[in-house]
Amino acid sequence: MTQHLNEDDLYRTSSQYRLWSFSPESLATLRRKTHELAITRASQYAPKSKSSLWQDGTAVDCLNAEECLRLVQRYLDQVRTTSDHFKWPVPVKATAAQYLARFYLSNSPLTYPPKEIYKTVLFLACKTEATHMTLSEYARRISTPADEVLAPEYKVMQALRFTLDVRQPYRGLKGVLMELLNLAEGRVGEVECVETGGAKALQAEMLALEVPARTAQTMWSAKAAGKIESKDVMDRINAAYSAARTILDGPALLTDAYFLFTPSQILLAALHLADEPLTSFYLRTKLPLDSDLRPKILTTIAACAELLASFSGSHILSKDERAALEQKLEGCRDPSTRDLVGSHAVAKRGGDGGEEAEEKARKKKAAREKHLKEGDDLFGPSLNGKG
Amino acid sequence: MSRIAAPKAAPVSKRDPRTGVVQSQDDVCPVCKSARYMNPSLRFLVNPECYHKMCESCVDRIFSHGPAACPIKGCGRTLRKHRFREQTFEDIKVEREVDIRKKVGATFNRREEDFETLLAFNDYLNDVEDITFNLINGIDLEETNKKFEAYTRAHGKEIEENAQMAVQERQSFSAAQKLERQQARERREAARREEEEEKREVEENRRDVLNRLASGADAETVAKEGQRVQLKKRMDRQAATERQRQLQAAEDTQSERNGRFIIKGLRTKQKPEPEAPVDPFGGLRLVDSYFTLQDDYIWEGIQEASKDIKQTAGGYDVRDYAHRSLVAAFSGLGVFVADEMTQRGQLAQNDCAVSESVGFKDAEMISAS
Amino acid sequence: MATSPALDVPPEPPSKRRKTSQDPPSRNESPDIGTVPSSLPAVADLAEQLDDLERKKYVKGQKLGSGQYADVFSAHLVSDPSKLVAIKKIKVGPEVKEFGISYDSLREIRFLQELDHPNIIKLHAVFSTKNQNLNLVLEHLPQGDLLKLIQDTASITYTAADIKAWMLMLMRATHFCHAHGILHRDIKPNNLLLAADGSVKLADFGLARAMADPFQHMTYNTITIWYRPPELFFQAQHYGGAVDVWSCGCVFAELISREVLFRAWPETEINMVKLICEKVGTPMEENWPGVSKLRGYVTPTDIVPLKPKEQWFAAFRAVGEVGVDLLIKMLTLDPRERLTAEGVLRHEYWTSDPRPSKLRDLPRKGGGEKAMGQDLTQRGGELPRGDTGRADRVARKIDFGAGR
Repeated sequence: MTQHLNEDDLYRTSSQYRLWSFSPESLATLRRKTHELAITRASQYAPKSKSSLWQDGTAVDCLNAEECLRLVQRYLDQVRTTSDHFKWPVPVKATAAQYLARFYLSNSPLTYPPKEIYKTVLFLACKTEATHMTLSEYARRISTPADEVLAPEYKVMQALRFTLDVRQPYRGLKGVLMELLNLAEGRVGEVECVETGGAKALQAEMLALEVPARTAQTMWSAKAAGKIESKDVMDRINAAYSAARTILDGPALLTDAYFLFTPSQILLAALHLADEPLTSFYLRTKLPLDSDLRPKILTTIAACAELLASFSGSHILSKDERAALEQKLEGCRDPSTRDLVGSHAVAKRGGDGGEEAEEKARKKKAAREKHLKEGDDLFGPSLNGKG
Repeated sequence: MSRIAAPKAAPVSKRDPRTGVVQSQDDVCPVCKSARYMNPSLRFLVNPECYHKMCESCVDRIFSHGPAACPIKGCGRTLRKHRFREQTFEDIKVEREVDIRKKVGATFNRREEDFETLLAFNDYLNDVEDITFNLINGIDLEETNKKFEAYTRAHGKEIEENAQMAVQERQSFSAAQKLERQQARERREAARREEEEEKREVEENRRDVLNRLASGADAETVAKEGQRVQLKKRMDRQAATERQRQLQAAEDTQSERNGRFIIKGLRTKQKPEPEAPVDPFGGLRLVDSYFTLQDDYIWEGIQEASKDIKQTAGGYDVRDYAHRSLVAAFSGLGVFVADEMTQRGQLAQNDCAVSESVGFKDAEMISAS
Repeated sequence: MATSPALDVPPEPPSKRRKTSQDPPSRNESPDIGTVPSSLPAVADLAEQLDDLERKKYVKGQKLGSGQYADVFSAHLVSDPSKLVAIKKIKVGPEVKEFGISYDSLREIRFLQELDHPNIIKLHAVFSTKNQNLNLVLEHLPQGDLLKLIQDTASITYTAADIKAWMLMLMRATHFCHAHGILHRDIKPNNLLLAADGSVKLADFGLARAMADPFQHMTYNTITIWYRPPELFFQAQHYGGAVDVWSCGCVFAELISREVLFRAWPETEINMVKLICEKVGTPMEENWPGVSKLRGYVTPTDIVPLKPKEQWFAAFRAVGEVGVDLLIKMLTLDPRERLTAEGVLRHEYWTSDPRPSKLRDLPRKGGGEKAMGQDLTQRGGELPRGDTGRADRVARKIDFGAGR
């Protein structure tokens, strides 16, 4: 009754797999539903009869789904730059970006404008990724009052469905780097069932790899003349790693990659974009030719690579565009969530010990009433003849 | 043993060294009125027929010539001399009850194993107790006695058998105890003998060594020689005791087979089915299916860290880090999110009760419905 | 193993769905659909709905324990009153102003969500109340904790086979955590809760942390002081699973002798190091190359040689030579030489005689539900309550400078 768990099985136990992985269709459906709910809510705080938002029953002066998406994306980028500004380690950046993206799967910017949420998200990520900064220092450096940073924290936790772990591709990419370097040195990382021909053969194969296409992301290019030596291969590997790393830092966080693919697929896709021949070679040493998973894995990686490649920095809203959208948002956002600090305080006051406080209050009230009654009786019936 | 307090006014009471019964000077025989004061060796006897007590001399005098009537006024039951015996309990009632129980028990001597269910056994015990109670308190005596005799007649054979078994058990039990005591004694003896042997040998050895040294042999070789000899002797002795133990064990099993069983517990133990060997990992095995961990990675990150004594001395394991990174590299490579999530959503739609559906699959379901 | 039931939410039946009709009632009035709970705004977002659903699954029962940081309640499923759970409600303390939701709570939630193992306490779900309190729905472990069993020398006796069974379960849990790259960093008998079937469950992940990358600093101010390994006293900022194995070794010794192995009094670090020197041996370059390079290392004045095997055996005879061999290898000074969790599981102790006791034969009565309540309310790093009676027993301090 032995249960064997391999790397894939381990991934399937993660909350990221169980709760935050989607097919493209279900992701779209979810977003659409969230947006519709938000619009419905809008019709409450901005009733159709009175508000100028509406025209023929449709919300025209409201942010549409596309604009919401782009606004969120803009703030994903904001999260990245802020994290770099604080010089926080990269896991904080990736976690924060994911928290924000997940938040907006079930909430709309119409209800919670990202401007008011992203700082909280970043602070939360900093805490869960074991990087420390006190709230007061953070608030000071980000020029926001501390309680404004804290107020949405609870809502963010709820939107994250209380799952805080984000599986990331960075460490895995390092692992691939380690193996590639060893392969280049002629020290094989051989896998069962894969015919490789041995360490030396692999090393030779690496030396003979075709050069990456000019469209590849890597900065490495073959020397004009002369034989390729293992040192060149090492340079090639390191260059590919750097390029892949840049992709992971950018498009991977700014697209839906984490929702649609696994970290392993994402990092290999990034590497694929960096240096295709190298990546193909690497995968050849990993996946037996006759396995049925092999073609599927390759197509999945290709699909992910396409997603990453399709992203361009120009997609992100510019400063002006963002400002324009946010102004529009001002006019149509849910006013009840405007004062998160206030509502947070109210909730807290009614909150912990709330039940005990209620108890006490009730007891006091009962005692008071009893006392009053007794008081009446003590001094006899009231004089005006009643009682 | 005395259930009720000592006699009324006993200014002088001593415990009879022979029987342990508390005697007072005021003890008087109801028949001849002789008191202990006059006759210090006065002994009382009772007859289970009517439980009236009288002194030994009266018993002798009245009943030596054959059965006679009980001299106590109002009794008159025919008594026989041989049935007189010393009273064991101070309270005559208790004495009587115990006698009745013994009688009943001798007849109704079934055991638990004879019954199908515990309930049946308890019912039987209940019935026996009813009979006993009736006999003790003189209720429905005729009826009860009839039952008694009926049972005796019907199951005479079994009663006999059970009685036999009881006797046998008692015998073998005491035999086993004796055997154990004997064995313990033997072991002690053997141990003592061994000790003596050892001491003697050590002495001999020392003398031998001294002699050899005295005769001018090389000290070191002599010492070594001496040690070797001693060791050999010890090994031999141990081997001998081991052999003996094995023999003993063989003997024991033999004696078991001969029926002279050493009872440690009545039921025969069934050998349990051989259990599966313990698997420390509890059935869980983690495999690296996409890579094989190397002993060393040339990547400078690893190299630098492994050279940093501050990291390694604290127990940070660089190879473990390499392993974790490689697991992360392939974690989910063969997991196809799009397919697996769509599959789940379909399951949810087909079967509302499935609890596998999580998270926002609800949204799909909701919009689909 | 595939899916943890944590956060499994049955699909919302269609009747409960929020109608996105054209004219919903005004905000402060609950619509008359009849399915909308009045605690939610008329159109609640999906996360709120799911949260609400989750909260409604449970009926809270009596309070089992109350601590400074959390209250623990017994509860059961609405759908099946025989299925019991423990709800840990995290109190909002004064530190909220400084940090927001506490690190401990975040760590506990984060790691328990990812770990699914028979010997690790199960986090079934998390939900929030209208007062924005975090509620963790944990496994119900009514038999109390291992510490109570160990300390109850008057009425509880246990055998070497029992010790082996408990240790095996603890080591499996530890190995599982390490395989997922998580260090527990607070293993001690009162964090080992007992389930109804007798099995041991590792709880309290408030001090846990993911294993670090090279060159990344971790705090050395972690693990309850009596169970802390020497490398942490020497302020090592880079360490691994060996720290947990040391704690497990301390638990092993405590199970055998029924008293804390390194019971420093007063509980200062200096005293702890002295005790470790006394009972194991003085850490030196000879037995632990590189130890003198650790920041907190102080050259010792008295040198105690490593305790020989015979002395260990004399003190821990009950588990036999094989058991003592394992104990020594778990309490090795040099963390590189110390067995890993996997190494411990590969030791011959588990497969040698006696066989580990079956679950049903293990002694019970470890304090019961009340004890579980107490344990779950404790903060990580604290010495057992009522043990010392001192106010400053919290061994763990939040250290920001060093990072974690």
